[in-house]
Amino acid sequence: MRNFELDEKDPLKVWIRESGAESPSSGFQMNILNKLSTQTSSKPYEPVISSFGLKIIGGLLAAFFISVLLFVPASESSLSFWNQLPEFTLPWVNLSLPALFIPKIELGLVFNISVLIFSLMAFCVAILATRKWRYQ
Amino acid sequence: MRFLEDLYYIENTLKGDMNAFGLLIQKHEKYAYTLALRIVKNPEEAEEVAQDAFMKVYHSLKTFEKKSKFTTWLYKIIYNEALGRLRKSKRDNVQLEEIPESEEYQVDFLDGLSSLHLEERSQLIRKALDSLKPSESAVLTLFYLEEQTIKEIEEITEFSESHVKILLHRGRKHMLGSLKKISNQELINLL
Repeated sequence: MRNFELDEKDPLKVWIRESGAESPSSGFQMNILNKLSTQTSSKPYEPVISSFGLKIIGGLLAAFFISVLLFVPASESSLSFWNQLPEFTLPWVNLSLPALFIPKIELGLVFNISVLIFSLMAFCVAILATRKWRYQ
Repeated sequence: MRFLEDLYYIENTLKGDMNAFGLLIQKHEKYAYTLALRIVKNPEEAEEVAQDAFMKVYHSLKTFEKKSKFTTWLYKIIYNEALGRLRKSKRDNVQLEEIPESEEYQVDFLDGLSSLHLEERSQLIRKALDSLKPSESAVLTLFYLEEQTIKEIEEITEFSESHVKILLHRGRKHMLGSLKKISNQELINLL
């Protein structure tokens, strides 16, 4: 194999050097600088649900599962945890409140659950919209 | 335009001077683009590769240890970026059939090339470089045009010394073969 380091008069070396380097388009440098400036001005990524929010959701889920475990009776005949608690009565406080009549609306279970779900969804949308508005 | 040492621009860029980084790009853009072009063989892609490489350089400038030359570090980034691009596009390497090297014929052929005008010869050289395998044309470009030593090419490509030398040897052989082919074709086109 030839000694590449010492062959200064190698015609291939001379020709490759004389053919020189090729030029990129005229906007090459500006394109890079523009891309860099847009990157530096943009805000770093933040998750939609913050870590605090995730903790709250996790906590609620954990509480839900624990409560389910506690309140479900062991068998059909046994009592639930709730029924096993000692009974106590609150001392009756006799207050004379004005007689208010709140109309009693009796709605079906499906309607109540859907109202609850819709209000939860509306709450989530409101939070997302607030966050979006804050970053604009 | 007369440029200053790379370290001057690097230090100023690290201080937040974007103008200094602009000058650093301007200083190296031609060689960076040429290396990318020799590997990806497409001007648009080569420009994208070189731009992405400069962006990476900017973002990791803090990690540049100054143990090696800035150009070696830059070419390593460009080389890897270009190879990544090639892998993505899954384009096959340009295969060049083995051409037996005939020293006797080569002398006449080389004399013929020497007698050509600079512009014509440069065009033929570029065509021949484009017809090589990406690894060979990259090593030839790094060694002959960008004046990197074998040691530096080892660092850029992560090949062993013997592998770099083999690539240089094969690259030369294939390039001469390609030059013969191209110049014969040009001659046929003229007739």
